[in-house]
Amino acid sequence: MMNALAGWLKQIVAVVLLASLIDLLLPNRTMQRYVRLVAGLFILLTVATPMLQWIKGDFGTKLAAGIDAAERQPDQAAGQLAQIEAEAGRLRISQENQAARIAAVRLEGQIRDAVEQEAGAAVDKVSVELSRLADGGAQLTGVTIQLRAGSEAADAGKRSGGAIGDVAPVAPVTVEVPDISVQPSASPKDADPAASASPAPAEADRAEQNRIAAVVASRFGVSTNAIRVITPAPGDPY
Amino acid sequence: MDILQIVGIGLLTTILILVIREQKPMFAFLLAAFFGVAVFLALIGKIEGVVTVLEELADRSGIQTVYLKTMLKIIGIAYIAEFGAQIVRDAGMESVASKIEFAGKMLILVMAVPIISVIIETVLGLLPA
Repeated sequence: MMNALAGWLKQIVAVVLLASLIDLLLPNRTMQRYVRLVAGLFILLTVATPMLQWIKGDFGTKLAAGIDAAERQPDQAAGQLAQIEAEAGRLRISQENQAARIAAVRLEGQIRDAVEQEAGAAVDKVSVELSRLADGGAQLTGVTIQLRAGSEAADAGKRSGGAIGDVAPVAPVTVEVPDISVQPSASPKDADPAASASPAPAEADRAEQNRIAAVVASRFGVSTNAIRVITPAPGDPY
Repeated sequence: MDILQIVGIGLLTTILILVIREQKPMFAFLLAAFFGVAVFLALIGKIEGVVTVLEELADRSGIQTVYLKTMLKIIGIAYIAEFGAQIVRDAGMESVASKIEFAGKMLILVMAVPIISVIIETVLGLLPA
């Protein structure tokens, strides 16, 4: 209570000081009466502030709105219109960005579901690239699907068992490598045994990737070129 | 230092005007108007410091910013109206000068209208219906 009273008194003193300063700053006597009137009204308003707050609460914003409205003149309408339009444009752009974000998230979810259900591959992450069209719409320009490492490997083993099966017989071939490496021309084939393990899964991976891309392309109307399927490194799960 | 320069330029302008006025009254008026604008523009930058201090004081003492803004606008209107009126008065157009002053007064009163309306509303709200 005492604090409020002290604040009120301080405010009155400050307003009176301000009024006297303004009175001092005036260029001549002709405006003095008018300025004194306004300053007196301000002092009155400050003195009556507690009562005003008691009666109807927030009058400060009302007063500010009133003064703003009084200052608004028809010749400023063009500037205000431009300002409002700029504001509207800004809001629209942010809204469109938000909509695009939401759409991208939904689309990612749908693509993930589609790939998991129809292609049977476990998806780790899906990211979607949208590009803005001139008419305000958006177009799907790129899809990146990252498959999960463990399940993909299991999946690949399940689906293309022949490919994995090929690896086992090739492994003993490494024993013959020293014999072959004696021949100078065999050096390119040197990597063959090690590499022979990878082409088959790589091919399987590529087939798998093509299959997933085809599923996504047929479901979402994107060209297969725009779809990128990333399979985790084959060495990881083993 | 500034005041010395301004007074010097003012004296110079006055002498020039007195010399020119006999032959070319138009140029004398232009010279006076130009001097007025130059002084006005030279000093308008210094006002910023005063306004900053006033704002800081108002902020510390808890005056609503609406009050200070309105007061400063009133001072601005008064100065600009006075300045224009004096230039016009120099040209010998007393009636136009008084119209400019009238416009300044009216604009100052327009600033007071929202305050008056708030006060009247409060008083009416206090009265029993």
